[in-house]
Amino acid sequence: MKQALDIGKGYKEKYGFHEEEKSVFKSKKGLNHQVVDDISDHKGEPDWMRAFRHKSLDIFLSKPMPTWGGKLDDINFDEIFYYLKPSDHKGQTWEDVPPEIKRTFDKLGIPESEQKFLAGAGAQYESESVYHNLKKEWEDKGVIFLDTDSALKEHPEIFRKYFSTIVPPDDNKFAALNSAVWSGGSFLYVPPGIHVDLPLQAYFRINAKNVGQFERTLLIVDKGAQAHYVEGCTAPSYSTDSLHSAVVEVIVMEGARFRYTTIQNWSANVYNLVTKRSKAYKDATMEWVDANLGCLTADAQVFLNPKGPISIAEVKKGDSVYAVDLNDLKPKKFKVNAVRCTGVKKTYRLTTQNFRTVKATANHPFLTLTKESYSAYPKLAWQPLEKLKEGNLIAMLTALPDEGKPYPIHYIYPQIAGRGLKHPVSIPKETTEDFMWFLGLYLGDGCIERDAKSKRARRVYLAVPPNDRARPQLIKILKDVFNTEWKPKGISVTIASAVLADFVLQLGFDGTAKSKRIPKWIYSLPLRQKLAFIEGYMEADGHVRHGKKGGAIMEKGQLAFASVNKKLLEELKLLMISCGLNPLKISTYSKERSLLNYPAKNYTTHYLTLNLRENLAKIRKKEASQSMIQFTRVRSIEAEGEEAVYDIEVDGAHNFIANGLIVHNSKLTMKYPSIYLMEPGAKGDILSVAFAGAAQHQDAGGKVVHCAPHTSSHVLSKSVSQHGGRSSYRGLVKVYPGCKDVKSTVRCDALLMDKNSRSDTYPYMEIDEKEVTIGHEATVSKIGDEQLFYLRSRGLSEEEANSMIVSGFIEPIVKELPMEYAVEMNRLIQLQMEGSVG
Amino acid sequence: MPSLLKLDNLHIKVEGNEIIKGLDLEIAEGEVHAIMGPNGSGKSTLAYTLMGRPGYEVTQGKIIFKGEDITEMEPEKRAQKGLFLSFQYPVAVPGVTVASFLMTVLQSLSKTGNGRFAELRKNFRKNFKENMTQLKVDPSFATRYLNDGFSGGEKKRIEILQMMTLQPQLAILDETDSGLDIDALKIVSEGVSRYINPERGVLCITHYQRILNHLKPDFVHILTQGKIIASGGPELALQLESEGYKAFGIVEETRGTI
Repeated sequence: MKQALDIGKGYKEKYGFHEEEKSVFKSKKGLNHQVVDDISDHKGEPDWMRAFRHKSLDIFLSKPMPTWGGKLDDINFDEIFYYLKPSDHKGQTWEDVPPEIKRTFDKLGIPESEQKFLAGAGAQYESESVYHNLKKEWEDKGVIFLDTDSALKEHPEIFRKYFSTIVPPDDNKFAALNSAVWSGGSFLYVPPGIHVDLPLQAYFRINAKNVGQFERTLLIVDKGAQAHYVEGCTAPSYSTDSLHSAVVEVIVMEGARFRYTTIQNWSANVYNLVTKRSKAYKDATMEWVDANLGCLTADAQVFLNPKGPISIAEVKKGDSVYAVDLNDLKPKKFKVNAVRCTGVKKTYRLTTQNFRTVKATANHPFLTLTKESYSAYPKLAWQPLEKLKEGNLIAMLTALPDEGKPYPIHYIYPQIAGRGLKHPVSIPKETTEDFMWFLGLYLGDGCIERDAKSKRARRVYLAVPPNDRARPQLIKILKDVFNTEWKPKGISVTIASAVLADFVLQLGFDGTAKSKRIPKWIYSLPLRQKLAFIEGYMEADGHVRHGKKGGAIMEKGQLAFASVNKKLLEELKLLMISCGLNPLKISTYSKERSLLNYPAKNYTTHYLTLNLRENLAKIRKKEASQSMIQFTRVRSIEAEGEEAVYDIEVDGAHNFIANGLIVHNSKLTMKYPSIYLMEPGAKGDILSVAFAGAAQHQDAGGKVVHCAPHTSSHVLSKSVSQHGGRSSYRGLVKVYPGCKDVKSTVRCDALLMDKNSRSDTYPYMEIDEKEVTIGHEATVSKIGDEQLFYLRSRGLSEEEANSMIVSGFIEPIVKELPMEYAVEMNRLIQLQMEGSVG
Repeated sequence: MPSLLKLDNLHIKVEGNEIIKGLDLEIAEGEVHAIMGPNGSGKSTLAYTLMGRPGYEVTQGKIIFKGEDITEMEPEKRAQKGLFLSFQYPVAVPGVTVASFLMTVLQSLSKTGNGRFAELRKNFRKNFKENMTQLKVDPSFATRYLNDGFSGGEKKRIEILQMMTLQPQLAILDETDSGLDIDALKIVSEGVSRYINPERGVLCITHYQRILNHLKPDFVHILTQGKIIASGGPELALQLESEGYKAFGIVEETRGTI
């Protein structure tokens, strides 16, 4: 099992996750005054900040652990790196950002979206901000949008005036911790009367393990100014081993208006230690809009049409991926609406009876077939990974629909001027079965000889001995397809054609036995051509062996593919799945051997095995399998490390196929921001939408504190629960004595899509003044059979009816959102609802 | 006259109980039929079943609509074919305005390729305004959320407004008269009367005779214990009104309608 697919490794190398050694400075583990000094030295901070950090550390050390939230004792403060600096310079332009960091953010489309609809953007990696940029138009008007460290250096007066005024170090133990070791975060200052009409956005990313992230965000909107700050959709998530203790301070001055939107975020943390607080002064308006979307694993391979399988991290908006139509349980193409990294989380590896494997977070839902009792009729249901047990039935793909077309070939040999071709060869116009068989054989047994000096490809070698059963067919294909001559050389067949050699390389077959890969274009071929390719490869690297328990070879025997190239076998396995074959596991054998008189060396070979009986005939006869979903049993679920996890949104289906397993997309969670209304006329709004899907529990709410008379607040919380999900509203409204004429309304609406879902409301009111108007209203509505039938009787399909009910339900919030977010939100709803039957 | 709806020895079960126990009925184009019966006689069950409500199982017999067997058809498909049910208890859809609801419905219906709905969709604005005026529905209702906070009478009017917008071929009115005051009843009945033409039919299900004064049914049927026990002309309704269900040997059942 240790040797099962480990695509995650490649992912890490590729995107620079866990590149701890690349950091230019890392503090010692643990927390003491020395660490604080180190951080301060490193940042070259003024003395007052150094003193502030030391004072905060003393407060942190003196305060007892909070007694709420039980498991806080598990945090080992000595095992955490408090500061990790990934790079020496911060980018002003995107090009300045170090490449390995840039790659990560490029994947998330940051520079692209910045140009399109943001006034400015910032990005933080580990403890330090790596990029911050503001459009010139706003810079000229005096708007400051920087990372917090730079702001301290460049704008010390404004910074010192407001820093820590909203959340002082002695507010709570974790605010003290943040104050002692804070690093990075966003700083925004909007001068009086300036309206920044495009949103400003920040992205956060955590990379290494056991690193605390303590960003400090300070947002100041001066008198009569307006702005909208959006917390990036790729903000990190923190596993239980990491510690996240951010502080967000927002100051909205007289007559100003500010909105803080979190459209997506990460799932609820065990330690919810983020302190997000805002103060609104005279006649100011502060609004929190909070919504949140979850995750699948980072390294899952998704079948992309027509490009073949790619890592989920590489999927782009607009691609077509295969997902399952739940109406007929057949895989179909769907458009991808969005891809997002949802942070670094603890993952688990699920392996099925037939060795399909995927890594996912504990809450990621899989399509399962369950029985409520022994005699009950089995039901399709989405179950989170944590609820799955060995032996449970989960859905897998048997084959993709055969929608491929022959690959057109436009090949021109890059001829060297003045030199003729000695050995002519015909190049086919498009792929054929024979041609693909040849490439499959080449993949296993072929290589290219290059000119020693010019490095130009000269000859094709195929190590197919004269008595090999593949040799006659090879000879025939060389004649029929390429119309070329060949010569024996040793046991090999050689074709002295620079054209053919170059052509093979151009098709994507470069590399040695250890580095060859299966080109993606092969996935776009018709089934028969794909199977011909597999057959060709089988002739080279495949063999038949007896089953471990003996028995007749055709019954119990195995078809094994041996290679030193594990990646190649992993790709072959996915290709096989797409063809309706049923590959089992890839096992690895290592042995120390000495050849002749050379010193002993370790040789490693990987084997991909298939059941001979069900697969050989399919390969030989090139039979189509019915493209559909079957159920297979869970073999094991094992804990894996933390990794970046990804999710994709698929248009029209709310699932997708990862590594041949059908998984559900998207999970939503929420947070609790707070607003302090400081002076008369201040107004605070909290709007939140939560979706609770299969076996999820979403908490939503907020806190409003009325510190002055004539202030008003409005909390609107909407939650939708479906497929057995649960959502809760948790909120506090506090009115201090003497705050007359306070108006506050709290409205929590819950919509239950089915009988198994639930909703709870926990409103807390601390009202110490009599002359106030406080309203609390909670409604729970159910999409009942009656409602559904009513809409259907008018001509709407069940899906349309569900979608209409949910859209109507959240309409009061959506109409408050700026246009692009309203569209985004509505699309989200459609996605959540489509394909969700009954 | 061509047949619109034909029920032949219809048996209906709900949650395992047989509610309709062998019902025959035929409605031809241009006809208005009334089904009267005491509470619990199966009137609403019949209405729901005709519209295809899930859980209402036809165990015997068939529902033939315009010559086609629709017994197993989904409700939305029946709507496409031209069947409409005015609900006894219309359901609220908060957040969706009456106008956008009807527009969405027409959009969905025209997706089926039926030119009739495409035409209705094209003329939606104009017709919608006219219909509102005819039914004396305040224009503000167009932008109010469907049935959300409407009074009983308002809901019924909006049901008829929906009927007039969708122009079905057979309208089933399930106790549309209940909850209406005398004036409202008159307006609603006039709306229905205007809707009737030689190609359309109405099946009016009611407990009381009063709506029939306006609708003037061609046939009246008395339903009790899942069977039609008497059929006749409008005079049957009058007889029922003056003599009561007891005259037909019916004891008012206590079981509520479903």
